[in-house]
Amino acid sequence: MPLEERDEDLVRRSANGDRSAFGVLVERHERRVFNLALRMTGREEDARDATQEVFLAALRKLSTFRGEAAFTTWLHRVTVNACYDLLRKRQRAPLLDRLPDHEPEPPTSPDPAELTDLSIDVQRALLHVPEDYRVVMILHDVRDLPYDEVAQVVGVPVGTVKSRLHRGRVALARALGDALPRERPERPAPSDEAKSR
Amino acid sequence: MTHPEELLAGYVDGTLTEDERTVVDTHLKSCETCRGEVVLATGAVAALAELRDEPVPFGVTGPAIADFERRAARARTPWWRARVHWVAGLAAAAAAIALLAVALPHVGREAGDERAGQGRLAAQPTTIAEGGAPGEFAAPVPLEVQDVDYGDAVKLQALAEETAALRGQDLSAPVPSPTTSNKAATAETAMSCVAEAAGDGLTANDTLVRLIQAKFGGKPAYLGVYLESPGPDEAPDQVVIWVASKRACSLLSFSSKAI
Repeated sequence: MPLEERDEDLVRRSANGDRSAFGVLVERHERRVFNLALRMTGREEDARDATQEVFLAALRKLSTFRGEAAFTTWLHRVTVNACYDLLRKRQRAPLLDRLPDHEPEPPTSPDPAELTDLSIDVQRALLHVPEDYRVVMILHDVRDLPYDEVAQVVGVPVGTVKSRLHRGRVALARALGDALPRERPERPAPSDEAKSR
Repeated sequence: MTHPEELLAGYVDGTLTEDERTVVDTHLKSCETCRGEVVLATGAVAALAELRDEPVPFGVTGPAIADFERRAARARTPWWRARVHWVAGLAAAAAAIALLAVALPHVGREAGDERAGQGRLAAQPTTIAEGGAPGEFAAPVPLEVQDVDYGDAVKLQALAEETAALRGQDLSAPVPSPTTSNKAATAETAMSCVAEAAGDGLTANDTLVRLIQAKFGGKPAYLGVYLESPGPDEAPDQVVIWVASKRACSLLSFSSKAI
């Protein structure tokens, strides 16, 4: 069975005019880009726009990609920037946020329908987390990127990534409220300002 | 009290060294706030694990890339062939514009362009024949000014579909909303701006049929609506819309629709 061709080799071939190589890159990464954009923006329409924009940008800028960073890191960075642009551009309530409120029952079994409910709650809650925290959380907790790669994508030190990750998780849990799939203790008082972080 | 915030994410993830973990454990014994946050963060990680990848809807990237590639390939056509193609495609272009001129009687036009349809059609062959490569001749269509924001992908696609429907000779198709009169810019400026933004994407087989000044994501923008033929002497098979920022003439978006 032939080894899968490395992204960097496909990029080089694409930049040299081999457009089928670019097709392989799209096929390989489209889902990753779309889902990152979907979690960041909460709107399928925006995720579609971002995905198209990211790959068109990639196509135009292939010759400038010098391989200092992994292609996926670069692609993530372009996607995150596209999402920030879209979020600034839209500045309106995400569609998921307009779903009718409901009080979900605590899940008692791994029923797929309940998982779907929970996923919607999580997506909705994500949109209440500040963008700088949200992006770190999505990259690390959803996309499974290690701290140092998240730092490269976002362009901040690793220590900042860890702090934002923690703050984002706490903010998400508070936004989720009763939808959290486990028992929680009393929430601590919101005393962020008083802390010497 | 100083909280070891940079260590708490790693504590929840289980990625701390033994020494770091000891530091956090010691802190947690005396800090109720951090104890609560660790529980919250653990719950959040579990909740995020419930998010599954959604499938990519059909046609998000593939058609856009294919379209871009196809036009880039056409742009590599030698200039002399391109010119021949351009002149040879006049009949189809004139027919398409005639159709639009009939179907869009209320579209706002540049001052002095009130003669509309026939005048433009009569002038176009001469202009193109003398003008050489695409983008170097005077604008063959007036500039429409619309109070519409095409930053919404649905609206942009609707414009492409609307043009495709007109090209498909469906004269019963809804007429676009009336536009206001324009004093802001000339059609030539708009056309050059769109051409600059589209770059290699525009080829000799693209025929400009509408120029629109509107907005895209809140920013002033020019939209160039083109009919694109698969080759010389062939009927247009695509409507392609290029969106350029009015200020910088940079490419903001594009959309296409098969006829």
